[in-house]
Parts: sequence; structure tokens; C-alpha cells
Amino acid sequence: MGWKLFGNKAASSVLASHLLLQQYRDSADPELLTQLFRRYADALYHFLVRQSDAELAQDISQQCWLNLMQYASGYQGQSSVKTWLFAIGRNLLIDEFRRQQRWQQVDETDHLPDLQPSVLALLQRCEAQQRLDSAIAFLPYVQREALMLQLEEFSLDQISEITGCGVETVKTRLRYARQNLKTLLETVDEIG
Amino acid sequence: MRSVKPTDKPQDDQQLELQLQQWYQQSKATHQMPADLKQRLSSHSPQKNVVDLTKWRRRSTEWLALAACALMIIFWQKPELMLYKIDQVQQQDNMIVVHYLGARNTEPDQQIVNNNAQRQHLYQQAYQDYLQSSQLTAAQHEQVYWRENIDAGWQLKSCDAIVLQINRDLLNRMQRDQPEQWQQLEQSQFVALQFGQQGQILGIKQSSAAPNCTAI
Repeated sequence: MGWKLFGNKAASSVLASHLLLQQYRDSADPELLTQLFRRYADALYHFLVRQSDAELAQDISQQCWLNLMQYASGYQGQSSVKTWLFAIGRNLLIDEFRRQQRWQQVDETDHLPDLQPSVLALLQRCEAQQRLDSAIAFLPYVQREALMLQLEEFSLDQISEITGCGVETVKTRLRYARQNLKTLLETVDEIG
Repeated sequence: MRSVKPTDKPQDDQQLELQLQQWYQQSKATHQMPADLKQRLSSHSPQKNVVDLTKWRRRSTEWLALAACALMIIFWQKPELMLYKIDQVQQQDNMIVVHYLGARNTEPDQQIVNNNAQRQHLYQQAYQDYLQSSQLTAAQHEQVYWRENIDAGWQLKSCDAIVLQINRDLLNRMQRDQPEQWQQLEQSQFVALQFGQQGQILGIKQSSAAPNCTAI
């Protein structure tokens, strides 16, 4: 009896996210939502801020969580809650880019833009860690997106699900992202 | 675009991975969701009405456009100031009395209407006219005429003369604003005109009786 009670407590404290969401869907208990929020809010915000800017990331984060509250019943359980949430955030962000007509600037090109002297000079002035930061920011949108998701420990399948493109495409983007990062960093080193 | 070097050293790869992992953890620690936004979202209750500021911001222009449309509609729906006047026109050997009813839309009047004080004055005047016409209605007399359809509209005839022509514009307006009355008149061969003391037409209605021509 005592063991069983302890076991239940332990289970409830680490309740899987999909169960949290399902229970939230049925009960609308704010405490369940808070638990989900604690788990994923910062990670989602970080992903969004790296793909846009602080103001937009705040807006999209807010929309994303409000969507989750309103459309929790839309979660069918085929993917993890985190994947589902990131996919919502990613789609909202791209919708916003399209609305602002910024999508043309960040569209699905895999090519690294020409390295302008000003960009190289900027990278040169940065400290090592900051240089990596700037180099990542300089990556094409879809490569940076794939890289960020992988660093957030999403699998290739999950990245594919979030971005809506095939696994092979994801692999290619990740490979290009790393190659481009090396190119950027090495070029700066050579100049330096 | 710069070409990527074909040979990447494994050691460089490992170093880059390590750098990326360190960078990512540091970046996540630096870019956390702002506390006020967390507070705002945490305090959201699904039962409450959700105020989505972002959507509101995004839709503010749509709301503005909607409000503008509503104002335009209200403006256009504002009752038109009507003008009723009686003129005498010489036509060949006859003197014809022309009753005119139409929108008061001349330029100077529009300017007057734009002025609030003058608009109030016009309303007062219209109200006085209404009171006066109500009093005159009591003193009205009624005549029955034949109604004929002509190209220009309707023609009302007494026993020996054409009394009134109602043009198509006015009929269309009547059809639009008072469809039932218009239909009754349209289906009737006889109509009765109600006149005020000064000869102005106060009303028109269907009549079941034919004009009385025995007195002529």
C-alpha cells in the first residue's frame, strides 16, 4: 500500500507531457498547463528569438500558448507535445513573416549569401564565442532552423515533422549549416 | 557564394560540435522568455476570455477599416433631406402645376448641413413643417383619379384633364421605400390624392371607387 502510494506520487510528478495535455484538454486545469509551460516555454522562446527577434518571439510565443489553450483538443498524440508546440510556433512565425512580406528575404534558400567585407570585418571584431553567434545568425534561415532544432535535441524525424520537409532535406540542411559555419569561421581566421 | 572546403578534419568537426553545444546552452540561458510575459501567460485561465494582444495588434488595421466602413454606412444611411415644392409652368395654352419631391442635395444646402448649429435649425424647421402639415391634414380634401402607366411613369387623370404625372424616379423611390403601398397603387386603376389647404399633395392612396364625373 505504502509503495503503491509512493509510486503514484512519483508517477504524477513526472507525468508525460502528452498525458498532461490530454488531462488539460479534459479538465482545463490551469496547473497542468503551468507544468507544460515550465517545461517548454523557454526552449520555444529561444528557438523563436534565434529565428526572428525578441519582439516577434514574444508575440509568437504568446500566440502559440494561447493556441494550445484554445485548441488542445486538436492534439491527436501522433507526435510529442514539444514537437507539436514547436511546429505551431514555427508555422505562426512563417505566417507572420509572410504577412510582413519578409519571407522573401528569409525563404528556403540553402546558399550562403556572398560574404561581404563588412560581414567578415564584423566577425573579425567578435570574441570567439560571439563570433560563432554571429556566424550562426548569418546562416540561411532553413539551415539555422534545422541546426537550432537539432541542438534542442529533436531527432531528424521530429525536425522533419516540425519543418514539414523530408528527412533527407533536413540532413542536407544540417550538413550545409555546419559546412557554412566552418567556411565562415575559417575565412575570418584566414583574414585575421 | 564561397565554396565549402571538400575535406573537413574529424577533429575540427568534434571541436565545432563542442563549441556549438556550449554556445547553445549559453544562448538558452541568455535568451529566456521575459518574466512579465511568463507571468502574463501563467496567469491566463482558459475559462477567462482570452485577450490576444498580438492578434489585436495585427487586426487593429482590419478593425479600423471596419469602423471606417461602418461610419460610411451610417453617413449614407442618414435620412435625406427632402424638398417638396410646387411650381407653375406655362405649357402651350395651359398653366401646369408641377409638384416636385426630391432630395435636397444642392451644394449650398450640403454646406449648411455640415454646420451643426444650422443642421439643428433645419431639423427644427422640418419639425415645424411636420406639425403644420399634421394640422393641414385635418383640413385636407380628397380627389379620385384614373391612373395610367406611361413611359415616364404614371399619369393621373380627372374626368376632363391630366392632373398629375408622377415620374419614374419618384415611383422607383416609392417602390424601394414603401413596397407594399407601391404595389397596391400599381395594381389599382383608381387612386385618391389628398390635398392640403394650399393645394399641396399630402398623400396618395388606392381607391376602389371611380372618379365621379356626373357633376361635369
